[in-house]
Amino acid sequence: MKRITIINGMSDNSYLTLEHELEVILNKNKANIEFECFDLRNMDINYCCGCWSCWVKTPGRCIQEDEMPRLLKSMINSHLTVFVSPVHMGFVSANIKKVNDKMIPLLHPYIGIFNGECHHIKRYDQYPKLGLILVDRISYGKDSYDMITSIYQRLAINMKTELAFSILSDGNMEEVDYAISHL
Amino acid sequence: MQLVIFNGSPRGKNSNSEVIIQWLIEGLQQEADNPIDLLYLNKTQNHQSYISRIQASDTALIVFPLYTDCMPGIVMAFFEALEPLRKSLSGLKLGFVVHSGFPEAHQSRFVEKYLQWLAEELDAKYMGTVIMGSSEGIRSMSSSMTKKKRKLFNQLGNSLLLENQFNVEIVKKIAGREKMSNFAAQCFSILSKTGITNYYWNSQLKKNKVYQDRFAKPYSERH
Repeated sequence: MKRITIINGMSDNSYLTLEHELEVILNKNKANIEFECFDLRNMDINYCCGCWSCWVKTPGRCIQEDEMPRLLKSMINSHLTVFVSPVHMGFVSANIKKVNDKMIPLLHPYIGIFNGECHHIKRYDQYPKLGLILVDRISYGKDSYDMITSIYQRLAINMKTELAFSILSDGNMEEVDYAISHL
Repeated sequence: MQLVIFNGSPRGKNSNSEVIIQWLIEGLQQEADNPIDLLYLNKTQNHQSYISRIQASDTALIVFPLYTDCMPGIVMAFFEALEPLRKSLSGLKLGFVVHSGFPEAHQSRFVEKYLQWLAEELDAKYMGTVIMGSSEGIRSMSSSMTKKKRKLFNQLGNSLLLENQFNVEIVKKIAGREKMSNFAAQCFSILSKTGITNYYWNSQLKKNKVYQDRFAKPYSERH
């Protein structure tokens, strides 16, 4: 059984078609895929305060008392974690970025060399593939999509994984469908 | 020059970004007392009021640490608040300082592309992005250890005052090497096996009496 974690960072309810389409894809694969969806609209998650307690005081755990541990637990035990985000000012929303910042407890503070670059070493044995679904309502267009994708490719390197897909929701959902059914 | 500087570190006044900002201010105030507005983006409740401050300035600098390959969430929250100002800041010069604990400038080049795009989207004049590696810990280093970097940021601040833009040569000096040489990477790999490269982390872990738990996997269900 494969596991998928969906982190829905949509800020309002005006794009329910996408959420519905995603639900259809997930339900279609229900026989061999378990999925867990988190809706950031209903979650209490603080910004990372840069204290690094998760590295030097409570290894692997954030000291803030919010709902982030639920996300981390689901993510690190998944095979694929998908971020769904509106494009705001040419980038993912602050809500999604906030979640990305708080993924550092999943890594170890020690630094190693990977492909000639410095990166943090693994804390866990396996990391989920990452996926990105972007909703570009203001039409920031391809430049912004390319920048976001290149930054998430870097994030994937740091998270010891790969970016399985990055799509704009006004395209079709075939790529997501394919990635999910071929996990 | 009506200058506003935004400290984009989640650590606020107690941050490496603050140290860099103070070095810049030393350089900016060498010639005359310039009015400088210094605002903190970790006060997210103030972001709306910061909009009028940026509109009232002719030059803005945004200084932040690299967080998971990009800007910290609090800085993105501020950029989101600027969305209504798209194509409306044509009188503004906008520059950035991005610093990270990694030694290579390359790590920050991806967010640099975004920052240039952002300045253009606001219709502001992009002054550039200053990238600084190995910044972690500068707030607790002795003044002799940070002397060179402080001097470079003093010069950068001064050039900003005199030339109204970042001096390209100083920006290059601050960035240093784009990537580690193969030799340096090999040396680092060898040294990391001895534990020397983890000295800072180990001393903190030991101080907090959790050294033995350093490889904890609290969320794993795979045994």
